Parts: sequence; C-alpha cells; structure tokens
Amino acid sequence: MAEERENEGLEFDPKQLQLQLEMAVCQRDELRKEVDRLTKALSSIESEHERFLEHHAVVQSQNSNLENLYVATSRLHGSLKREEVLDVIEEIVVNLIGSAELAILEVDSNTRQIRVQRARGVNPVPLESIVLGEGKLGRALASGREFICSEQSSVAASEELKPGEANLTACVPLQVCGSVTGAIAIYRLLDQKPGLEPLDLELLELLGELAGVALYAAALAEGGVVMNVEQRR
Amino acid sequence: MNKILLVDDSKVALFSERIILERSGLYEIVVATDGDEVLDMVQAEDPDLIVMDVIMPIMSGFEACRALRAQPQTKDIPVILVTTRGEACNIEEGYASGCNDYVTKPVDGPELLRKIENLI
Repeated sequence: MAEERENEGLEFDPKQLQLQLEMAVCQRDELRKEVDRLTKALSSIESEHERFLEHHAVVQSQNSNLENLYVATSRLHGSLKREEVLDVIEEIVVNLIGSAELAILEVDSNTRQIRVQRARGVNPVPLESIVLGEGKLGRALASGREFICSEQSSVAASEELKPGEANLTACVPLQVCGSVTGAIAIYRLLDQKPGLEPLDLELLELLGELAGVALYAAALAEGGVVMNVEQRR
Repeated sequence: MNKILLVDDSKVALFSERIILERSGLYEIVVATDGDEVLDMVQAEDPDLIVMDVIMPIMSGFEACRALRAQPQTKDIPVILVTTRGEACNIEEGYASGCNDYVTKPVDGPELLRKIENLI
C-alpha cells in the first residue's frame, strides 16, 4: 500500500523512455567512436614523436659530425709550423677519434724509408723498418689506400703481423696531389670506445686529405721542403 | 648568462668543447690551458662551472680540483672532469679529488650539455 502511494503521480511514458534510451545508446556509440578516434590520433602523435626523436638524434649526430670536421679542418690549417701541425694531428686522433696510441709516419722522398715523426703510446723503432708494399702499413703507404680494421682481432687472425702492426686499428695515408707522403697509424682505441664509427671514418678521410697538405705547407713555409710532388708521381 | 671555464692543454679539445657550448647559446666561455692557471682564472672570472681535462703538463685536473676544493671561495664551484680514461679507478680518483661529474673523450656534445645543465 505504501509503495503504491509512493508511485502515485509518477507517469511513465514507455515511448518517451524508449526514445531516451535510443538517444543514450546513440550518444554512447558516438562517444565510443570519439574515444577510438582520439586513441588513434594519440597513437599517431606518439609515433610521430618517436620519429621526431629519431630525427633529432640523427641531426644531433650530423651536427657533432660537422663540428668535428670543422674543428679538424680549422686547426689543421691554423698553423704553418710543422711541430704545431703534428701536435694538431695527434690531438685530433686523441680528442676527436678516441685513441691515445698512434704514430705519424713520413716517407723519405729520396730513400723511400719510413721516418717516424710522432709515436704516442707505441714503440717507434719497429715502425722504422716498415717496407713499402709489405704488410698492412707498408701496403697502405705504397698504394695510398687506407686500412681500417673492423675488428681489432682480425689483424692478428688474417695474416702474420709485420713490425708495428700489433693492435693496429687503422692506417690512413697522407697525400699531396695524389702522392703518398706518409701515414697516420692508429692503434688501440680508448677503453670507452668500442670501435670506429662512420663519423670517425669521415674524419680519417678528411685527415688523409688535409693533414698531408698541412704538413707540406708547413714545410714550405719553414723553407725545408725536401719533396717535389711532381717528381714523386 | 652562465659563465663556464674550459681548461685543457689541447687546442683541438678546447676548440671542440668551445664550439659545443657556444652553439647552445646558453653560456659565456672563458679558457685556461693548464691546471695552474685555474685558480687565477677563477679569481678573475668567477665562473659558474668548470670543465677541466685531467691530463695536463704542469698541474693535472685532479690536483687543480683538490686546490679548488681547499679554498672557501672556490670550494662550491661545480667541476666536470674530462678524461681519456674511462676505467673505474680513474673515475673514483676524480670523485675523490672533488669533481661533481666527468665525461670521457671523445666528448659527446649532448652528454656534456646535459651534465652542465644538471649542475648549474
């Protein structure tokens, strides 16, 4: 009785309720569609963000690359004093490539003997006995083609080591007008450096092209040029 | 603009680090070429942070760092050491000398900027 009294005055219009229900279902479906659309948009934005992050990393890497190439070029041509140019080559290998063991070699234009101009962290004596055309260093010096060891162990594994080849990572010939005047030999890399990266290879290529010219220009400026590039071709 | 003192005996390293920091547009740069110059430079320039190489001919980065920490006026200046050696014992020696952080050569620009940002 009490319940009946309570419901008195309430009017239920089934059609109206059905209509309201249908509208609610319709709104729910619309909202679900909107949620789906927003979820897809969010996913797309997240993917785009990832792509931008990757692109940013590539641009940062390219910036570092350009900075290092700029530093190397600028410093190599920043002096006409032979000792300073040799210092710069050494510093580029240590600071920008990441090896504290290197040698800077020059080929005597008259005797074709190897002269060690700088040796850091390696014994220079065996390097004096390199024969042009023999071993990895000798072949790089004779051919003008750089030697890059992809895995440090492969030097030892592939052939018998010649003098000065233990722990050799790379040898970059120095050239002046296509004539090989010397080479930079890079040995063990720093502990935190697992291997040479594409940036390092670009830097080495640049060193091969510019360091020989910088040394030649310094020798010209100091008046002690002993090499005639045209004769050596 | 925060002022950073770069200390390295290598012109290539100084030039490279200078370019990294100047490109960020956030810092004014002053330079010294050996550890023994650091105390004078700190008095004259009052830097907000020092980025210093470990291996230098007259006074090493470790020694210079210890000297900075021993003086009341300079003991709180953040120091980042730059080292060619990444081995744990060298890093521990760096922290023992009082450095706040370190980076290894070859210096990674974004890493150096991140570490400076954390300390300034």
